[in-house]
Amino acid sequence: MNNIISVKNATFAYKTENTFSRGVQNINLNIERGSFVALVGHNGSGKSTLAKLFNGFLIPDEGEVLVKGISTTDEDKIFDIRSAVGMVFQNPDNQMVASIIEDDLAFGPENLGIARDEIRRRVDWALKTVGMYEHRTRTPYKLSGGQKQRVAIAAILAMLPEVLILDESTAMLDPKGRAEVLQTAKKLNQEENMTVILITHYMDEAVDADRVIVMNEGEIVLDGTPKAVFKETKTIKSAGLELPVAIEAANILRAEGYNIPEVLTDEELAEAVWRLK
Amino acid sequence: MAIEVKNLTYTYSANTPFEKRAITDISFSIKEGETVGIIGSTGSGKSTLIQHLNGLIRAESGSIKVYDIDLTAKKPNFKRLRSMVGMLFQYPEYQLFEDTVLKDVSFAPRNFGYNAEQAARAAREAIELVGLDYEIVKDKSPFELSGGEKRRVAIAGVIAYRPKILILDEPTAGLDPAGKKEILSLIQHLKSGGIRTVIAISHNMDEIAEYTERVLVLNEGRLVADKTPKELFADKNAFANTGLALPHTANIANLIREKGADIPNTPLTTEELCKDIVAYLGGDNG
Repeated sequence: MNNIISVKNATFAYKTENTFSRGVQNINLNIERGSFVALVGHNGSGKSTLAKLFNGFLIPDEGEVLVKGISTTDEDKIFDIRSAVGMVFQNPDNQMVASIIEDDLAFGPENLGIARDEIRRRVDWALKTVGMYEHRTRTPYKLSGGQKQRVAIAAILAMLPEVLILDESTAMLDPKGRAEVLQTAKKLNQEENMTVILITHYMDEAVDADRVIVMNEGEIVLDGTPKAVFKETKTIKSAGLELPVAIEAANILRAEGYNIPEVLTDEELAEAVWRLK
Repeated sequence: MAIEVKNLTYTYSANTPFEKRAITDISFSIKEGETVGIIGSTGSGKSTLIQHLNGLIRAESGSIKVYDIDLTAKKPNFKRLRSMVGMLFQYPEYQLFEDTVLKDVSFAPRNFGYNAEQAARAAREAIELVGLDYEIVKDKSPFELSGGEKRRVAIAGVIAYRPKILILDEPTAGLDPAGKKEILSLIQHLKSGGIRTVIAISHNMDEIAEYTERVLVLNEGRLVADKTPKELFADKNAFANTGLALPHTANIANLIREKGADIPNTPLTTEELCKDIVAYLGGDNG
């Protein structure tokens, strides 16, 4: 089975006694094992709601979400689902529980009743994977934002998830911290074959993904490779998003009659301009 | 001069084992009317620096003057200082606390001695200035509003008492592209509405390039550059060890230049970048 997550006709709304707020509607989607997917959309577009459906944090009102073929409504297996799909949120400070980094990582597996030796192995592996092993006996509170977020990712890794969801995990970081977290996610995808779902507002973070899904008003409006998605300028703008600078500039130059090929990154645009001369 | 900082140094937990130097020997001045960006990686001293400017941190050595108020005097008039220097922290919507928007925005003016009627009038003007519909929002709870609207209410709460200087710490953090644009054009708009000088911390170099006229760069507590965005982003080596990056526009121009092309300018907006590329390519449409 190649799809690790399948969403079938799922609809979810936030309801209280006298309020109703749209979440997502009629979502049909398969996430392929080992893929790197960027999920983008403006605030309130439904992207975080969708992510919470992926790990059974929310249960759809209609339709169904399957993780490794198991429905998220299956209460007996909800722990299997949650340990298969790990989430890292925006603010790393809200995700730390212990005062020493390696204790923080051990917390999750300890709760699952994992043997001590196995916990040690997982903690060491997770910290090495995110490049924080040498800091293992320090306190997380004195780290930089990017380092903290890498520790938060390691804490999820120690649970051996098969899918890593980063829910705007770079929003509070400086450029260096952002780059650290993105590199870690790419490395996990390429070297550990981990499925990564990156939720972001930064369109330039989406250009490196295998697949970009654009949400608007609770629905999927675009779904494809970055090149295919970023061609849909109008739909992207009407979804309240912006094109990366290189793509926007290439579009303007093309409209002025210059023969610029499809580009995604700063480097590709620079190369295209240089070749044109 | 609106702000004059000379040889400012500050150490957290001085004379304890946890002593940590935050800023070292910083000097600069800001003229009334300027829009100044402050950039630097996490831990570079940006927040420590701005907290000095409205007296939240007292200067340890060096001097600070805000208009005629000497902050290194024994007992500066803090109340007057804070009515002149409005400060908006990161994620300011977390500090909204009243049960209606009107009450929340009136809170600071009341504290600065406005009577109920004056405060209500000031709040109304501020709510309108940040682009919210007064009649619609005034009796709403701030918590019913969207993220971008909440942030505008928080800004209204600061500008309601008409500070001359507005300091913002990461004003667009966490907002989506449309929300960012709204807040940035709002900040520009405020300068036509009584706020004279704006100082903003940002991690987003694209915003700094497009919206400020002068940039202070902090690295490990020191002021390492004080330039216009054009001068600053012309030299990518200036960023070598600061953990910062060029804005995309300047980066693309620089990459083309590195291939051997002659692009004399440092573009700060996508339009400028395209103009520079067209000038370089000449009439040669490929």
